[in-house]
Amino acid sequence: MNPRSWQRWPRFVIGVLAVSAAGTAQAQDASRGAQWYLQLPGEVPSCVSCHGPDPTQNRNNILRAANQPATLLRTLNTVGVMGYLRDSLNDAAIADLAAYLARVAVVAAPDAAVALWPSTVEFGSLPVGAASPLHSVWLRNLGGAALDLARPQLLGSGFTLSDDCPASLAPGASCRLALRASTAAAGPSAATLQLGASAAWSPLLLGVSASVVSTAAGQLSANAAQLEFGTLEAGARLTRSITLTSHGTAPVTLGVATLTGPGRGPFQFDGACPPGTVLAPGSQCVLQVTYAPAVAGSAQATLQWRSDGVNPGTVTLDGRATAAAGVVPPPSPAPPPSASPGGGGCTIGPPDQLADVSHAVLLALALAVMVWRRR
Amino acid sequence: MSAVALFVLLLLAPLLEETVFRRGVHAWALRHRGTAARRWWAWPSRVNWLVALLFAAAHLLRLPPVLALAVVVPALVLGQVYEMTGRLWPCVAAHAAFNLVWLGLNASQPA
Repeated sequence: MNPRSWQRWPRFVIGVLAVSAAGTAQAQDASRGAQWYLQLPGEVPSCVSCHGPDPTQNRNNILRAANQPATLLRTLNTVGVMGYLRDSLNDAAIADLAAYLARVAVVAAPDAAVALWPSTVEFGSLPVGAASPLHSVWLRNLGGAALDLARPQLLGSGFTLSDDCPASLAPGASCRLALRASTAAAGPSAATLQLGASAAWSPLLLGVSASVVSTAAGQLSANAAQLEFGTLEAGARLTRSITLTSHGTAPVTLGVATLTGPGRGPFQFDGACPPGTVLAPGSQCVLQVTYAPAVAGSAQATLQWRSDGVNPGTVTLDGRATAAAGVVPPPSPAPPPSASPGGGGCTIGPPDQLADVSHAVLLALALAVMVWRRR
Repeated sequence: MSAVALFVLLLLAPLLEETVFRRGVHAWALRHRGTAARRWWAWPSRVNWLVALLFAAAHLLRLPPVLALAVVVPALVLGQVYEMTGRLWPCVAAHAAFNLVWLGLNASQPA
């Protein structure tokens, strides 16, 4: 290496340290970070577009940025597909997001004492004056002691909240919170549902967003708010269907469906409603949801959808399983987050997803190389 | 481990990544900037180091920094294979073999 290059190293190191210090010196507001996760100024695609509506599932390793604004900043600066976010997120917003992800990481940990699901609520694009769908959020005490709860709070406007949560939640017990969006005035709105806080745990945060529009919009609704699978023997499986109907005045394009909740393990879904499906007003698609418990216990999860219209309210999935002898052991633990930091070997893209932008970029580059080499 | 993951790890990723980095970046850099290693046991060439670092940087998309940095070592081996053979297929095979070993190590660890 050229000796002059070595002389530049100290300046480079000082520069990196300065950038890192600047990244961590911002005041952090995790509740605002929960809103940034769902909605950014200028209606550019937010984090939820690539990392999904449930950040506890650690899609694309987002929890690496938990409490690490410098990591998030470096990712925005180096990952090409995230580059556009650099114009929408200033350093304060990056610090907010990192603080929010730190709260998410607490809930995502395998030994978490409390579960809150779904992690985000998106109402989608609601026409002015339309009735808002109901979105349910569940809180469960996974620990061995009673959980003291403060009254849930909505930080922000444009939504209403009701709940049946007691002041003290017994071990294993759940309570439900219900959210509706206000559609009185056009415009985007975002809020944060804050649940907390006893001395033992930091408040849990849940981002809520809606966009009230004055134009025609597609509207999607599900034919049931709950799918009850009853009691099965461990090892058995049962499939039920749920129908999505397009009710609006415009076609609606389906986005991803997501299973969330600590008991989502035994559930899976399949059917004729893949992302990108366009449903004209009046048309339907059917989704098959299968409950296949491997061990005895009860399982509860929710299914939520994204779309370019009014998203359907969350659907609750409920099932119980018994062992062959009829003895019911404790509930099975939640599946661990799919961070898999080193698992999967040496690939630039995710090994378990074929339809990923990194594979597409690599394929395009490989084709370009082959064309270049043939010349 | 799903069939999709096996397909990606053992075929798609080795083929695409080696085409881009060895057939593309490495070949281009050798043509414009440097000389290849002349013996299998020679110290990696400057171009090989440069491409290995780029290769590791690309893995930062999915891996934490420490593991991405660890990718430099197999990348240097792949670069050496490319410089000595001048062919893509041995690199693709070696890359797939690395992933197979990695899979084996992961599978042997308790969940």
